[in-house]
Amino acid sequence: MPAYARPHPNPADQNIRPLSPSEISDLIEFLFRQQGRAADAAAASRGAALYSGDAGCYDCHSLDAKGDSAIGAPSLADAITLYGDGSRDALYQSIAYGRQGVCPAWIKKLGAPDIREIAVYVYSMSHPGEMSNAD
Amino acid sequence: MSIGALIGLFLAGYSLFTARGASTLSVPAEDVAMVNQQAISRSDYLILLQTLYGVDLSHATREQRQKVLNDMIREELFVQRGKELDLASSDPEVRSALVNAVELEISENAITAQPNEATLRDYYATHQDRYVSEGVMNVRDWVFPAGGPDDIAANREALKSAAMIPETLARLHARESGKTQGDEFYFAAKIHLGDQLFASARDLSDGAVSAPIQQSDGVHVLYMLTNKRPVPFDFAKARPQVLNDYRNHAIDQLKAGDESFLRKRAIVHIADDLR
Repeated sequence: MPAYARPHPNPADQNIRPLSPSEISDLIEFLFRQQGRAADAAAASRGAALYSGDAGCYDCHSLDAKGDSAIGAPSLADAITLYGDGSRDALYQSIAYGRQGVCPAWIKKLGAPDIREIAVYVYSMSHPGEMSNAD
Repeated sequence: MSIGALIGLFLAGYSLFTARGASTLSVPAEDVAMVNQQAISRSDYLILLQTLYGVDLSHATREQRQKVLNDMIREELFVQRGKELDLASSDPEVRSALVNAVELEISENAITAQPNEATLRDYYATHQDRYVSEGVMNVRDWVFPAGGPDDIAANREALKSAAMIPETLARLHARESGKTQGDEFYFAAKIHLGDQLFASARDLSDGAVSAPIQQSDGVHVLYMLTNKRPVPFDFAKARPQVLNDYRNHAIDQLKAGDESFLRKRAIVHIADDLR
């Protein structure tokens, strides 16, 4: 994801402009509100406009901030965080300096059976209890 | 002429005057079809079957199997036709796809390698200047009419007092430039203030007022409300970025190495006017 505290947040997309510190704070309040946590209402409203406007967050994380699994964009509307503890500081770090969490392509490194085994393993980790009778 | 020679001649003639040509009749066990001697692999077939219908071979219906197989044969035929037409020479999208595919092939090892922590820490230590926060400043920029720097210097302390600012500005016929607004990252403040004013602002501590700075539109005085200077990220905080940078560096090296090799073995002639 872009690093909004840098002059060129996303080198691959020159249309994404940097945000000011206060705009990043507004976005954080919006995300807090989406997660059902206490948030500054006015700042969250400004953050919502940024989210679905200039900041372009909606493009990957969808308009309701619930993410898009097809492109690996995580939900920002729940309490599960991939980076940090979900605090304002951690969100600031992510928005200001970006994240690079992209799974590399393993198609030429692993065979079909290996990929399938990994898929089953990941599924078993995310759905505990469902795999006990699977063969 | 022997029977064998006659059969050979017949096959050669058949191949010559039909589009199909001669080919092997057997399909290797690891493949599901041969299209003009090009194999369609069984593993690719099974993956596609799984992707499209969510079933393995034993659970797929005959129609599902046939659909996937037909799609793959069609794709192979069109790819082969594309090669015959030499689309890579004329179609920008095909050229771009080929370049991307070759770059991915070159980068494969670097993309999937998992460097150990010691390697990452070394990289972090070597490139520590990259892993710092962006500074943030909240600075006010006042512009005074040219010609009175002594008066301005004499009133610098008064300008620190919120109550005195409007009065002092009015008395000295000054105004706020409006170049900055609230907290700004350093890079933004630099763009808004310009290099000269930013260089002066960056060194100001919280609450400090700069010496008068002569510019074409008057004399500028900066009042720094807050100045949070860039601070280095510790390794734990920087690690995701370090890993990404390390990988990109490795990928760039691989690409550069391959390009160098390709250039060495290629014969490239350049037009006289572009040499």
